[in-house]
Amino acid sequence: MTRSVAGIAAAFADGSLKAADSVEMALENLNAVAPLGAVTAVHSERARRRAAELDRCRAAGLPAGPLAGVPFAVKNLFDVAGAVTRAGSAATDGNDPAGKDAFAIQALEAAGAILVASTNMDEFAYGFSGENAHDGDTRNPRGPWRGAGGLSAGGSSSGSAALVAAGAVPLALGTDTNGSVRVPAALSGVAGLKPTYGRLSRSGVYPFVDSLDHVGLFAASVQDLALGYDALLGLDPSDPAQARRTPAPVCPLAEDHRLRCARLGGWFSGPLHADVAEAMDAAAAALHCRGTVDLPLAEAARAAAFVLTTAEGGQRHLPTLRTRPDRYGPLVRDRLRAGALVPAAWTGDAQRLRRRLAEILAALHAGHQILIAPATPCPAFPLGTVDWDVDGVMLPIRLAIGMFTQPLTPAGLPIAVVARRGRISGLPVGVQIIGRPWHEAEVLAAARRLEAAGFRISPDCCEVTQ
Amino acid sequence: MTARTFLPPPDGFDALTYTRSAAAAVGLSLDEAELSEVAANLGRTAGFAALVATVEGLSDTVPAPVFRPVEANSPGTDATEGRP
Repeated sequence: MTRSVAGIAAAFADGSLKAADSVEMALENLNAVAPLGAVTAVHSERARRRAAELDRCRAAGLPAGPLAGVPFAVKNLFDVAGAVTRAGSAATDGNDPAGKDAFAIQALEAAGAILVASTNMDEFAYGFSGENAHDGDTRNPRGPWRGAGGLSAGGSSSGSAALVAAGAVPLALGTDTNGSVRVPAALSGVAGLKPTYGRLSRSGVYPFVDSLDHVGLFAASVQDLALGYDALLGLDPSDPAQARRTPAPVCPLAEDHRLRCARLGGWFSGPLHADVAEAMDAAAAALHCRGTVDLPLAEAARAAAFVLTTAEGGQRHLPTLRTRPDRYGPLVRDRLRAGALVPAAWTGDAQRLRRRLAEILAALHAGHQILIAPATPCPAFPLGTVDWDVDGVMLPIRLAIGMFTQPLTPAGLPIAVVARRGRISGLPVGVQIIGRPWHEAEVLAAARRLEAAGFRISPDCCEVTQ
Repeated sequence: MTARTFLPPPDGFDALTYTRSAAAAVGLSLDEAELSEVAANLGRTAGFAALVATVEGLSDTVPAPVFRPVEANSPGTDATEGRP
């Protein structure tokens, strides 16, 4: 038996696995990996009820959906009907419970998947490390996680990535504003996808930065990522930020060997831990990259993302910062306060730079459908670290771990991450696969080629098989 | 390329004075210790903003967000972000 999305769905379809059993195994897994600190709420009652519905459906010979029986988890900024949307913060404690599920949860459950848990995250998604003053830190399952200490799972979608890496659930949702899917995918060693900006509905997702927020997802394999992505497609009239484009499923994934690929140099060439540098060389070889291309303005694009993030995040939280600043953790409070004071001239320039960046990347993509770049400069670092040495350069790692994801976010391109174990550290390191807008199928085709070349790490920790 | 994690604020930018004044303008109450921390963060943001401002020709570029009037929902194309 397998614990994959595809395997569970197939087993449910052929009658060898009941949805109820799938849910019970997932709940056992969640209990087994509790020391990870990856979960903030387990939805056991709801999940069992949903599983019973699916089992009755199958018994009656009715279709139950392509993901029937697949348990999944969501970052705790997705609305879950009847629960207060935490968004990783005590500042949300007094809020009203959500009246309905987020659109993404509705979409997955319409496909037969079953929500089992909400996951830990950086407070209000403002961080890359998975450290949280209110709910505790998420520990990386690829490192020591049962005792004291532990490694960062990456953030801000830390719990979702950690649960998939541990094998507790085969599918999990996150969000990506500056790298919050891509960084944890790399550090935790799972496949991650940030689709094109505007592709997936953000309805029912606690906002952070309207200009940059994306819904994304994690799975153990590219095939599972594709199955989850297809289920999330769908037009949502209630989301004004969603593009009005016809949904384009990616399954079955193509074996497209005609992709023209290149590697991003310049800003993306360092500093790199030797494991990351080796992974980049291996990825470039597997994709037959035609040399290295520079992304002009990469550093300025990162700066623009930084300005937009602090300004829009600060504006959003200003009412609560005025009245209940004590509810915010120390890692975010003063950054948000400062953001609320950013002059419009700075954000105006940042939005103009963003437009320029999109044009530059479009020109690069005219010659190469796929560009690759490191996801992070180094593997996972110990929780609590402030400065970290990467290839002889001391970096303020909580910010610098996103130095290669953040410059790309403003362009809104679809980007997948796949990971492999580093030869030196033994820890996961990831590669970003950057595609053309709306061409998620090409991104995942390239990701699958890398997966075949060794960029895949099996989930571990959970002994329970599904 | 050398990775520059933080950038200095532009010459002449007095983050503390600006923070004190702007906080009052938006109704954000800060004591002296908080003021100092917020100013330090704003100084970092000023450094990033100054880098963006050095990019040539930005004033001729249309900002990324383009408002879309609300219309009836129908599948179609959307060219407001990136290049479909």
